[in-house]
Amino acid sequence: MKSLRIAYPRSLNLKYLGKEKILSVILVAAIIASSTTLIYIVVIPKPGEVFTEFYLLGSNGTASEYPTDLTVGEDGKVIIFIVNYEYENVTYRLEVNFNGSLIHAEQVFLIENEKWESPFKFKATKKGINQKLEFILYKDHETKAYRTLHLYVSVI
Amino acid sequence: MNDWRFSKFLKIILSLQFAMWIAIALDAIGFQIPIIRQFIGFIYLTFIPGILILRVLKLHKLGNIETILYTVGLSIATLMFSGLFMNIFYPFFGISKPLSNLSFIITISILVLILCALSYARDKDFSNPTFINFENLLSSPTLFLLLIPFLSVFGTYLFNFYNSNVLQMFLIAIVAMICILIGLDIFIPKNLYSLAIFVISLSLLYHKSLISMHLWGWDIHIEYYFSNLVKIDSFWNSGIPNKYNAMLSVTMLGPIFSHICNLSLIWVFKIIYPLLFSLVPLGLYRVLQKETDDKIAFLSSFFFMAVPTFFSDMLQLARQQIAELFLVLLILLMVDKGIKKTKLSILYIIFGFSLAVSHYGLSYIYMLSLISVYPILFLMKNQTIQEVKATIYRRFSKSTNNDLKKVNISPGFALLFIIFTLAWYIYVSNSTAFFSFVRIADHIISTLFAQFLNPDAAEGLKLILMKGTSPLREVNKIFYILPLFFIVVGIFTSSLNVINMKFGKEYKAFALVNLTLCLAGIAIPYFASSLNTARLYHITLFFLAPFCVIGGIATFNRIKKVFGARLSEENMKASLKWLSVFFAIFLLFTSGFIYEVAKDNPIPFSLDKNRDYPRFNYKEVHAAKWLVDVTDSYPIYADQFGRLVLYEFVFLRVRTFLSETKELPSGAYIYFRSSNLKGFMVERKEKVYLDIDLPNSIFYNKVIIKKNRIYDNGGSKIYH
Repeated sequence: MKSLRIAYPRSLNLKYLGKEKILSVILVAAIIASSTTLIYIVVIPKPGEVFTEFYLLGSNGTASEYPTDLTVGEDGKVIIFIVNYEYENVTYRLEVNFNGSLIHAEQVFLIENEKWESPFKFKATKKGINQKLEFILYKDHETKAYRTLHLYVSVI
Repeated sequence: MNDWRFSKFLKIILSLQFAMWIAIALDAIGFQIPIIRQFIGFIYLTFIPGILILRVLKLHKLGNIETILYTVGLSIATLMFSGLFMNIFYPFFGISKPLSNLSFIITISILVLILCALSYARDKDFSNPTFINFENLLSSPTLFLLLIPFLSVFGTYLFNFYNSNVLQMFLIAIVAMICILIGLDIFIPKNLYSLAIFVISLSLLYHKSLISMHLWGWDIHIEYYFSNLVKIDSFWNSGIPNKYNAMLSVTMLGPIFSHICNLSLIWVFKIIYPLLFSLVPLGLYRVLQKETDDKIAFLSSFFFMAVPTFFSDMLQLARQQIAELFLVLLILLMVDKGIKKTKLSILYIIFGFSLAVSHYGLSYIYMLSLISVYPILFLMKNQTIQEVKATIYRRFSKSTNNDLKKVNISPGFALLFIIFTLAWYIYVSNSTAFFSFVRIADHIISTLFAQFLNPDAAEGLKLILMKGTSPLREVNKIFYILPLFFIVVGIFTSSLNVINMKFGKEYKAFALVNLTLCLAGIAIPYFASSLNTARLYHITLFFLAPFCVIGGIATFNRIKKVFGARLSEENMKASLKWLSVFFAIFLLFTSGFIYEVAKDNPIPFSLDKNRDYPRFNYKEVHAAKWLVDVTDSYPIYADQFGRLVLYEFVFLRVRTFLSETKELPSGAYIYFRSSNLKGFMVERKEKVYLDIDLPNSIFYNKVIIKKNRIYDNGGSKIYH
């Protein structure tokens, strides 16, 4: 009964190698190097895109029931979220404007991958449709807005 | 391996089985060794069930390529039908989640052990091993070829993270160079043509599939949705009325690989499916090697791969990738004259049924071909026709009629395939796959005479008549039309036996049917567009590719004859050299290499990172996932490309906004992707995707301007 036999390559001693074998040795080295690199990039993947997530949820914790229809004197409630995916610690500045007037400002420091959430309450003071409630997020000490959100509030 | 002594064979199988259990156990206790489980899992699922079935069937001495292809085909079929079996029967035993991780691990392990016992009972005495020649493995042409797929992986890495297409371009140039080297008989010997085909196939596929860290393209997002649904529910709901849901190639195969290999479905679709699909050109090469010769088989398979549908469109059609593997296996069975009738019938049924549950479009075309092939075969046998043929052969050919091979495809199989296919499509997923076929057929028949050869209705003709947007595009068109011309010439010269080939009757009959399908795509209204012209052309090339090479040889020889040369062996070799150069240039066009060098836009997205295309960055995907987490029943609107990423998570709630949309239902969400934030959206008008200036659109000024912006991550915004 025959068994599996392996025909091993002849000696790899460089002294006896021809051009063909030198090329083979170089190519084997290239394959080993490529395999190692491939394993490296799979095992230690490059970090993904860096960004900050900034969003609002209604008071029920879902993306609904935003306080867009209020009566004069009524409080509107939303939950503000900031998530830091910048792969570094970041100090944010959050500003809230209602009808162009600053009604709230605060500093938020988040470490890498940290999520911040805060309920926010505002009061509807005057009648009018589509009054802009604007949430502006600045990163570190930049003066240009980094992320912006808004709600149009109608007050009767 | 199926020819080895059984004890050695069993040792390897059981070692892999234990290795699989150990890898799973290590993962379970939190000791994860990167890559190991994925690697073992892939080998285990792709090869073990298939090779065991080959031993149970006592199929030996098949040759390396056939052994690999039949093994993979049988394994994939086993996995799909095992999943189906589990889904149907396990609930009767109180298992409410029949397709869970544990359920798959236990079932597949038991299946492997049963197959081991069966193969021992049936095949324990066979032993006729082949030798592994390490001398060949370490030869410089082999090593050179083995390096190429790495180039593909590193090229996409460089492109994804450093915006450089240098390695991608280098890869395409190397692949084109291999074609010329083989055409000129330099460096790569004949025994490595099959390896060259596999390496080119895998490299071309990976150079696109690995673009972006997420899925790109059209249908694949819906395939992901249904595959993920099965993975999340651990159950396949066959009643969901959607034709994608009826395809086990996505609803079973994806979750099985994902669970066993502990790999996300995204990477199953981006790595494993293309790897399985890369075997298709190898199968085609083997078929054509049997029907023609090594060089023609290589060039035909190269042409098949150089048509961009292979390395572009197909990557976004996971179900068709698997279906094409079964199609090529069925063709391989058709030309394989060494397998005994009973075993052949078993393989035909397994691969035929697997094709039917993998992709409806391809199954319908195969069904149509089967139905049409029998009248042709009948005519071929007709006495009068035989006499006419003999007269023609005497007039044009030096050789005699060589249709001596036995016919390998039985009417019984054809009937069984048709019944199974129709039954599957009628009973699964509320007959959606069946009704789409009826609808298309009805549409084609009702417009057949009214719009015959009307370019507006016949998509194939429209593409041929369409004017190129630059001189280079006009040249490219010639490179597309010439192969069509070669195919027609090839079919005629083969029919007249001017160039003597070994084609069997069935192959010729299938080629005639596929030529008719190809021409129908050009002339018959809505025929090609129902499947997509490029995809129809690609499918017909399974049978027509060799005729392109034969037609090319005939054409070059005819040109030479004008200058006084004879049709000799030497002239044929010279023609093949010219053809290899032609196909290499063809690839440089179809891959976008030439357009990138000439900076002639649009350049394929795999070479141009700025081109807008349905590929999605991390921020866009993150925003889509957020929408799913915090919203419930309201519809979500996005532009033509943006809707695709949403399909993955909330398929049924996704709608498309148009530039002229003036109003949306109350409560609806609007998803903006990165390109929308840059000021433009994509809209589809008359089957063409157009860039529209978003801030000046009616939609923006009537709808968006009044909406609340509730989410912003810099790459995507959501309005409500």
